Amino acid sequence: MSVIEMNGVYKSYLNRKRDTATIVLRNIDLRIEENEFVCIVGPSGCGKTTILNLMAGFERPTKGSVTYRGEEITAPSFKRGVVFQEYSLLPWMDVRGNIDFPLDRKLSADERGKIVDKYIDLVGLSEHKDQRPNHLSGGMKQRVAIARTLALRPDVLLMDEPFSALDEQTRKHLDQEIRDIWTKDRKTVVFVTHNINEALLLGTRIVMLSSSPGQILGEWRLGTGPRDMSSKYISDLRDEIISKLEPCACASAGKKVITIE
Amino acid sequence: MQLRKKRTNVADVIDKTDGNKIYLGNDLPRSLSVSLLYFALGVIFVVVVWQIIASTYNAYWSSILTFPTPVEAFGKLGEYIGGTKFLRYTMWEHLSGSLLRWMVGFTVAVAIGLTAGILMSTGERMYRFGMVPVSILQIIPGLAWLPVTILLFGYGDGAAIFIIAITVISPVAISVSTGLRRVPKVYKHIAETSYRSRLDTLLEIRLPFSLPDIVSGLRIGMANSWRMLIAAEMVVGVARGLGFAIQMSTDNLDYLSAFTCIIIICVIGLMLDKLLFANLERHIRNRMGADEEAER
Repeated sequence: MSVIEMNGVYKSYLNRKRDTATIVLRNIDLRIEENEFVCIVGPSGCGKTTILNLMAGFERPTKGSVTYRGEEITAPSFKRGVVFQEYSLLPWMDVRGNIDFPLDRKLSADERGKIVDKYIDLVGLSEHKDQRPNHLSGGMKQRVAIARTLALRPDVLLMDEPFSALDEQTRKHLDQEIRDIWTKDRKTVVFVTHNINEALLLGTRIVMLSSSPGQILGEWRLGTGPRDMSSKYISDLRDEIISKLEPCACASAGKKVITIE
Repeated sequence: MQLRKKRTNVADVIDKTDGNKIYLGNDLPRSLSVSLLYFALGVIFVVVVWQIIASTYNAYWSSILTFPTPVEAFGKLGEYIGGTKFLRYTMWEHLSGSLLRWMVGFTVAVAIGLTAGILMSTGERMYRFGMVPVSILQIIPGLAWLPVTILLFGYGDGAAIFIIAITVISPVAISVSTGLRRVPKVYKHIAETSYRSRLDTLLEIRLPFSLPDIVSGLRIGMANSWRMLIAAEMVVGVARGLGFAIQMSTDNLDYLSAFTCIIIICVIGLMLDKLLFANLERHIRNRMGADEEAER
């Protein structure tokens, strides 16, 4: 059984006047298997984030089904941890408080403290654990957000362009850290990005979406081992993905809008 | 150019690492002593205007009544603070009577307003529906509730407390619901993907996030109710309190005592606003990291 399965999923939004609808996703079939690291790439506005929101349970599909281990997803759950694109830390809590908040209160304060410290260590922020988010750089904030989600020990990790607001250098560094963390515990991950290099570095599978409405254009499997980003194999693959991406990005400059009869 | 720069209050700071001057704009310095200086100047201005009105009145206006001068009023105030009774009670007893009424009314109103605000934040329909009674409450002036409160509570303390409370509920309900509705969606998502309950989320994320809004609502409510308190005491028949004392002194042509009460009302009101609420607001802004961000 797949961990997450999307069958014939459509998602559309009614426009403000409620007489037209914008189709964001069209007929998406996608299976996320155990221990996969699936990167979803595509131009901005193609519905990548919507796919993630459907998987998390923040939104429901207009048509079709999204299931988690065979069960229909009707609401969010701590089993599917999410790392958000924007900075999402609570400004009035320090790093420890931010990571502690989501944890189960059935655990004692002591047990929670150990978990918090362990994950702060994991993302290398031990020296900053008593600081408030305002004193942290963008990269550090996203590390805290990752630690917060990992501390919940989710079954699946859903990451929505977590590093897109960061500078290139920091992003590369964090990509490597994510890669290392994944190599250690092989969690099932769905990672949304518009950066193809990031997808090539991280993914065991890359899924490409076309824009407006989002449809799956292609899939590539990369295996689980570490990869040499300068190898011919990777650079050929990059060219192939980009060549697929370009014509569709131009073709769909206008949004697909339908009128409701 | 040079002249202009001298006249504006430019705060230059020497950066110790490389000795460069950093121009911080022409903000007025914010030290306590400077604030106190401006406060003192403002008070002196008010007292001078009062003195001018009093002298003019006493010299040209009326031959029977005298307009109390600042010196007389503060002298009398000293006497009352020392413990001299007027209208059967000391100044402290009048003040504590008023403050007690205010605190009871304010507390009840905050409890109601907070509950209403939380309910109104649960959905768009609840908000639209809830805003109607809240707006109705808000638009009716406090003293217009006189017939209602007399019917419900009769003359006395209950009536005064009702009028105080009714002016606080709306600003508190509005500020609480506004604050809660502004909580970013991403915080909601974080709570939903956590182990925590909706109540935990309300107490630990949504209400703390809304605190700046809530405190400004409380501050408006405080100002409303402080004014209403005095007015209510004048009309609903209480036998002790600052509003009552002003009313009775005026009726007895004891304008001097009335003036001492006005001074007390002013001092206590300013203290509640500037010391209690302003500090609370600053503290909460710091907690939210707003000021730290501004400094960086």
